[in-house]
Amino acid sequence: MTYQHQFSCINQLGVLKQTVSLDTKACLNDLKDILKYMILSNVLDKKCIALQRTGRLGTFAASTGQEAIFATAGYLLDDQDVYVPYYRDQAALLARGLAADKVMSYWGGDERGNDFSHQPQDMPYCVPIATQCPHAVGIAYALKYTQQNNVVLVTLGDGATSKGDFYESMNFSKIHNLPIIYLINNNQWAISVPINLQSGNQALSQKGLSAGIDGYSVDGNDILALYQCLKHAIKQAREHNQPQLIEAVTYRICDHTTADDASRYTCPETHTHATSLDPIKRAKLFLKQQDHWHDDEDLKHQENSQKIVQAAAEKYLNTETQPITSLYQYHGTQEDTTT
Amino acid sequence: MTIDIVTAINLALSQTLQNSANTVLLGQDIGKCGGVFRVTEGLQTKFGTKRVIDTPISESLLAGMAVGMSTHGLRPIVEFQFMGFLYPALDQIINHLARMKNRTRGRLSCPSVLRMPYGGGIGAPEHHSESTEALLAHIPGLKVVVPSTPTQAYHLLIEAANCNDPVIFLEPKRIYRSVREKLDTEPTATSASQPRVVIPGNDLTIIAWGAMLHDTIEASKQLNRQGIYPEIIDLVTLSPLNLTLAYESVSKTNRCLIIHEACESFGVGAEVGYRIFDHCFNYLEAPVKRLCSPDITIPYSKMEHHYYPQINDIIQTSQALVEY
Repeated sequence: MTYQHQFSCINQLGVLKQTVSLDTKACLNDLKDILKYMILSNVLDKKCIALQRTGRLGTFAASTGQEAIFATAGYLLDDQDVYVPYYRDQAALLARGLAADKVMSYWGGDERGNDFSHQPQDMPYCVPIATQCPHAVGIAYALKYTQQNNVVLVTLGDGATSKGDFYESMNFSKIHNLPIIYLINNNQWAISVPINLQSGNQALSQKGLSAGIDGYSVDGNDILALYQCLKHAIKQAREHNQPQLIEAVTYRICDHTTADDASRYTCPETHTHATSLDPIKRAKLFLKQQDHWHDDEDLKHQENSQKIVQAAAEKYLNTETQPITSLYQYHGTQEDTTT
Repeated sequence: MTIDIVTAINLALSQTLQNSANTVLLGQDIGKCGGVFRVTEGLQTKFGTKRVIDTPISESLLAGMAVGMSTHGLRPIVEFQFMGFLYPALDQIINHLARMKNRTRGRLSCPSVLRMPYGGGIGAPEHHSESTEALLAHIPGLKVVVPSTPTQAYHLLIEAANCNDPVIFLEPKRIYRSVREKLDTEPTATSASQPRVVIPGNDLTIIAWGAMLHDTIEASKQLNRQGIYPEIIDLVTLSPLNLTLAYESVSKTNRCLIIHEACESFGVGAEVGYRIFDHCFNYLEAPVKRLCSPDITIPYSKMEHHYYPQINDIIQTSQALVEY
């Protein structure tokens, strides 16, 4: 068991810590791409909330302030790897190639939002907490069994770490040394339950100890730390069949979903402070210092994301409802032929 | 040579593992031990630890892994030790296994078999005698089947293993060893999961399945001596229901009795009875009757026989129905 204190590489001003070395220039190019998906996810969140507030989308779970975690995870997986999301993963799904209108489709009440034609081996959204973990284990077993050199990355929130499915999954992953990465988005809140009422652990990554899995805690707003940590974990899983647990520590500066009102239970000062730690802002500062992002790109990528999201919204709003026959189409043979 | 139901299922599992390289077995004690009822005896030795996987006792994990495996190319067959221990897995079964095909619009499906012994009558400890099939039959997207003879168990399991959707395979443990016959491995013309007329008759229709079917057959012999000839139907598949055969039968006999070991209220008998009432109303000369266990917790072994219907109960209820 390796427990490391929260790993970070760049400070709040985007300055690279002295102890950290940038391995390659390719890394900076990757980070720039990841940042683009973070911006896209952020713009998409805002649009989805606006659609919900105007009665054109159902309940929606934003990931504002947590974009770095998902964008980096989605970006670093190979096409043939399997991403197993929970429900706050839009940045990862976008990085995996999901069209933005599909996100709206899902949260707008259309099952086709789960058809994931962009990556047909990826699992659909998973709402019941932590239940995606055993699926990921089954997939990892299947990948190893069929000798595919691919990995499974499963995401979960801090609340999910309290559930049996999470423990049972880690336990089996280690027994069989499966190629799986558990990525916890520790955003400090499970709807209104704060992390100190969720776990008595010093860090959620310590929960890996119960299963004999390597656990790491990483600053979830630090794009470079996430990049290095996830890259290492994916390599360990892919090359050595070593299951990995990563706790990415961030803060949910948005409501749990549009059905929530976090002002009822959060502290305004903490919220304001957390907002100042925005991972997009920090990534831009860092990449500018590394000469990989320029002032004019802020506007350019923001506008580009707006265009993509606006086009997605138009497509979503103009998509016809599925035929009623589709309700009955996907249950196998269910009917008593004579009634 | 005759074999019992345990051996028939073992042979069907072996045959399936032999024919399909992507089939894997999962469950606690299914390896060297061969399972608590020895259903998987010898399979790990024959097919290896990667295909016959001894797992921790994590029911939710097993059902959840079945989801992940089956959506990604494997065909898992999971053994749960007893139906009373299935419940931690219901979250995975109801929320995912049964729904995956629908919620991904057919992109992912879950070809898998969840096997478990069910029912009482063997003097087992608390929690080892449950018959809660209605919980599962209520869920759209699941197929729920129950064998009652060795040959049927063999074909039913092979059919379940080849099904492209999840199948709950309930094994009536009271007759695991007691019902024997010569195994006929030749596939039958009709699907093994279709209801079948076990004994033809004209005086009333009795619908049963699993272990209760054999008590019904025994009761029928005594009824015959009184000049009452029931037509006995083995339902086999509890969900999705196919009652065509039952409708034909009741239209002929004008009377219907449904027997099950589970407690009465909200049981499978209610659904079957309602459909027969609805479909055969013009033919009925007596109310459709159910003979089930009472709505109480299944007793410990000493009073178990006061719980589920006995042969005498079947005889008396049948007589009353014919005389109605």
